[in-house]
Amino acid sequence: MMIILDLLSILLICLGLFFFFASAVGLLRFPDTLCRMHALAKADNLALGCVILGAMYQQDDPLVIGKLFLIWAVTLLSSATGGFLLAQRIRRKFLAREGEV
Amino acid sequence: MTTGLVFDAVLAFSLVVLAIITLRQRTPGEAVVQLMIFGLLLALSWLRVDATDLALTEAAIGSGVTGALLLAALRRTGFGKPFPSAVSAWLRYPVTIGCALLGVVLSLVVMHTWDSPAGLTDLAYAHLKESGTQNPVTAVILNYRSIDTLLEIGVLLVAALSVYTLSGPASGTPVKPPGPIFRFYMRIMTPIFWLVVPYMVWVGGRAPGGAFQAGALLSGLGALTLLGPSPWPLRLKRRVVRWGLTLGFSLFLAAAAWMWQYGNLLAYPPDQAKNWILLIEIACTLSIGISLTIMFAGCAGWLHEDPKRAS
Repeated sequence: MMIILDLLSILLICLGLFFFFASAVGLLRFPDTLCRMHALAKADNLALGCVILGAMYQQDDPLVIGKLFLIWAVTLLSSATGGFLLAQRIRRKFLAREGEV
Repeated sequence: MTTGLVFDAVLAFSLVVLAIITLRQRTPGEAVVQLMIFGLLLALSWLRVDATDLALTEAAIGSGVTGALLLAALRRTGFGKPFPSAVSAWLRYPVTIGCALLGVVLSLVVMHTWDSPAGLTDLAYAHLKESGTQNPVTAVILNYRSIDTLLEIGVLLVAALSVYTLSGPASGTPVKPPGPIFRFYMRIMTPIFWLVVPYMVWVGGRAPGGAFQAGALLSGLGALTLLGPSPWPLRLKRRVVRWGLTLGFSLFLAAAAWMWQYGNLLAYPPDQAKNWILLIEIACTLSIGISLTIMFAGCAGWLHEDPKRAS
């Protein structure tokens, strides 16, 4: 049973690391801010989710598991809101520039 | 063991590289973002030496609050305006060489004292029972060396008062209405903040936490509220704000004066220590939160704003 949990942990954390890596590459290689934000949001949602799920399998204390889940939930909420605010600002700037032309 | 060493080496190397990158940015906006990343990595390195309290404080204040303050100030001076002309070489090279020498000397000191017994650690643990708290860091901050903390709170108060007095009528461009998504976010996050802040104060008695971290969180809530649709902290009565601002420092000072009857400033009697520490921590959390929020509002130029904002 322990072995299965450990294997699941390793698998999930490796998957999370892969997504983190992909999002870092996306952040560096994508052409504009909106695309880069997409890459960043992927890291917050998927990569962190996988790592936290992997870490959950290593815990016995339900309180700690709850806290881990809360970290992910709050990060999801914050990254979605932050991404929206950034995109809103970019859109407003773009519209203002279009208006000038 | 080796894995940890490799990780530490990479971490230390990236810190140095990030510091150089931060200094070499062309515009203040980019430099502030780099500084915030630097602060987070620094927090990680505190974690590596098991200084969780410091890591929390560094992440919350060093990276979060400082970054927010700088970004708020940049709202007025411009994110993308390049720095004025570079510092002259006559100044730059001596300063660089001086800093490098200082770094070498400090590294030598650390290496020299590496094997000697761990300073005052044993003493701090020996008196933990009488200190009124189970967290040795809190014991140092609020009991053994509480005079330092008193002065730190005083410095923060002076800084907040300067911002409060010096910022004239509102000069920053008001925030554009943030829209329904941010409103939804605040509706969920505000109760979470109000849960976590008291928890942070309480948990400081036995685990990493305490007034500074909780105060930084409170100011985070304050800054978010100021950005939101109803910036009610700006509408508070001046008298309320001033009382909240000075509460921590005055209570701390009163405690120091009260302890005089036991022969020493801030020497709590062991049986009352816990209550005093808790009382001071709660008051300081409120004052730190209010101070940092005032600084944020002052930096952004909203402090004495006309409270009617279009929503």
